[in-house]
Amino acid sequence: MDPHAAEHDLKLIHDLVDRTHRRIDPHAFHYVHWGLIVLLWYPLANWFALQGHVEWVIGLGVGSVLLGFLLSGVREARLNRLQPRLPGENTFITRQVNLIVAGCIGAGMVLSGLAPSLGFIDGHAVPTMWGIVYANMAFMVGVTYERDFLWAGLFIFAGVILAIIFQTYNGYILGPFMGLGMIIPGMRAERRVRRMRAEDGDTRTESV
Amino acid sequence: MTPEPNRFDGLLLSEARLGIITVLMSRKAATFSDLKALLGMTQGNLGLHLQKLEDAGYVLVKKEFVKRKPRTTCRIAAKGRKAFLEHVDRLRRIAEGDHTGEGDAAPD
Repeated sequence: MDPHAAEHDLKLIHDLVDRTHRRIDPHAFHYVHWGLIVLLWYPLANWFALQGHVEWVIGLGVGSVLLGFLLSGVREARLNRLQPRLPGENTFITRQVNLIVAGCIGAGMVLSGLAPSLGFIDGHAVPTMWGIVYANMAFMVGVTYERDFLWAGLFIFAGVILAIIFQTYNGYILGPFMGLGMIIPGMRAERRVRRMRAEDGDTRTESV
Repeated sequence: MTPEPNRFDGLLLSEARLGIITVLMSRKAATFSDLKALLGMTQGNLGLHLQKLEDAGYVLVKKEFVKRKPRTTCRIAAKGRKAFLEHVDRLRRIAEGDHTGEGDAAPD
């Protein structure tokens, strides 16, 4: 074997390893759904709170969470019929991303109930706490999966700082910061998955 | 079939088989359709090369039914991992101009 052939084989190995690691399906439509919901929910809830309509804030919160779970559940169920959405996906990293999201959202839900009821924070600060949860989640997904999420985490964290400074308007501030911080990297990730699917063509038939 | 120290492993001189082993080195397991998509190979061609690798003990192939559909999952075996690492080491040495490890390919 001559050096050129050896270099060719090494490049083939390098490209293939790179391609195998690049193929990750993080189901980023969840980020887009929840980003859109938060983008509308938090500013509207802030406005209701400033108007003194606490019951509307609660109703809007319950409705938004239910809508989010419904959208995510329906999309996930539809996706299950097409599994795998991306043939050759790196299931190891995909599972790590899923674990990060589940851990952060789970912790956020527990804290949303415990922290105000035990008097650790005021109910009005719960959105700011979710801002910290989102920033942390985006940052960890960014480290594990794609740098877009890392910048999004920093962007959301900047929103959290502003929300702490201007506490009365935390919903107005966090809505755009958290919403766009999730929507933009989420849409970019979805586009990446669509592009890889288009490169493959339809290769979901599984037989040998 | 263990390659001799100064000879290339004939099984890995094929781009297709080298590709299969590379993908399986990069991840825990891959289904048949994963490999087909990643390597851009036809079903028949991939099946043929997988068979050779399985016969040599380089790859472990598991066939099962999931939701009434056949699924073939491939993993790298310890022998395949060792052969791949040795092969890459030889390629590196040749690419860097060290021809002391170069030799004919070992028979399949």
